[in-house]
Amino acid sequence: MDYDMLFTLMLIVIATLCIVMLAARRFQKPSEGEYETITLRECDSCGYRERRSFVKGDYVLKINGVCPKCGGPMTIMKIYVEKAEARRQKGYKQISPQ
Amino acid sequence: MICSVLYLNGPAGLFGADNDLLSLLNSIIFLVFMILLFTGLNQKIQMMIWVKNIRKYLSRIEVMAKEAKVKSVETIKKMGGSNAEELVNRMIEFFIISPVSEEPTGLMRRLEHLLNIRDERFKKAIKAVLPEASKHEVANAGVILEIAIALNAIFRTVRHYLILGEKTNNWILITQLQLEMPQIYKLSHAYYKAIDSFTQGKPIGDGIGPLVAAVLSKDGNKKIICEDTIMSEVERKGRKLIVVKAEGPGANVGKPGEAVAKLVKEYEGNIKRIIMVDAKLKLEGEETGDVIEGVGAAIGGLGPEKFKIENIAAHYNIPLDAIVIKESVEESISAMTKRIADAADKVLEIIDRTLIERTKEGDIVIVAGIGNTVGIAQ
Repeated sequence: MDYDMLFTLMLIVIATLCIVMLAARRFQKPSEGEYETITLRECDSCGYRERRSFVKGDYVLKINGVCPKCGGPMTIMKIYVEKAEARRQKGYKQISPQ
Repeated sequence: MICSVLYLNGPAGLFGADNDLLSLLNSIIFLVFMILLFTGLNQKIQMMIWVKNIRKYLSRIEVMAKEAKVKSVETIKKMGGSNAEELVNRMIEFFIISPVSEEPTGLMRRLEHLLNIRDERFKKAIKAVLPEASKHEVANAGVILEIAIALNAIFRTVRHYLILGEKTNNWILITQLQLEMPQIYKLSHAYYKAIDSFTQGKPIGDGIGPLVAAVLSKDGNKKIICEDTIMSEVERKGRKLIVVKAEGPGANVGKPGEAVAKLVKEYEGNIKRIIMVDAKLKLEGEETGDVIEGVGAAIGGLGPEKFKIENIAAHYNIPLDAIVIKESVEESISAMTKRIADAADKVLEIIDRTLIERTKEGDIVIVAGIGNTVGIAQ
């Protein structure tokens, strides 16, 4: 067997493959996870904290609902996004929006 | 080609002793390489590959720019606007001419004047289409329109350099563009994603300063100190805190520089410290949400607001403390992440420590929360 010939053919195949791969290189889109927006409410009287899904119209310092423990007014203290996976792993209690 | 070679020579003739085919092949390859090398065709092929890649990114930026325009029209229409399309088409290429910088005298005043005119034009144009909308709705619509303008500007600029590079065969220009494209696309994508945050009124990463200010001033008496800016007085650790932030919960950055300057003059310089809280662009490899301290006016923008704070602090010899929260440029314009929101607690600890270590009971301290206050009231 002529190894020179084999080597040349191999190089041609590799070069062709490289060109094809370069031409067909796919567009890289920034990776996006599954995110969820959380609203964190805090009771003004006893400091009880509760998380729930964000609802349009929520904003920080909005007085929103009553405390399930002491009945005092609850204020939205934080609104942030969190990866849905991370939430599941941490085992947060899912509270439906009101 | 390889198949035909195999067919013509057959299994026995393929690797013949005289290697005629191999010589021919080597000669062709050598010839092709020489032609490519001495005619510059190799560079042209490389340029073709890069141009193709830039076009891929550009087509996606174009889609985002067009969708942003559609979304801003839809948002204004949903708020009850009638001539939304006409307004967006009119404002989409709105520009501002920078003042002459070769003559620095009064540069900040001139720049501020131009920025004020721009803001006024925007507000009036939106208000004309949305006469019934609230102040916050007008602010949100304005920011969404600004995002559409920014995306449109990015698209037109990249397209300009691409066409220019192609026309003039400027491979250096094309190379630079190709190398920058992933970053440009990432930024454009962040702008595009930010539209949803502003439409729904969610706080963004840049809102960490106003968030800290909101938490501090929760129980204080609020009043408008200057255009779109709120101040409130609260007592903390026995000190009197004057908290300044933009008026929320609409998308607004206010005029914290003007507010701080006004307050210092009102108190005739009897201010012990000015503490500024703002988001800071992190360096790659740094952690989002890290809180660091320094000195100086922690405020971005084009300069007039920063200039006012530095000016008044220097005039009355008031120490300027800066507390900044690290985040990327994408995070600063996207919905606030948990890491950034949690940094607010760390900032409050630092403020308390600053008050105890560097002020006395009864002192007056200004705390300014700098940033966009969308989704954050006072």
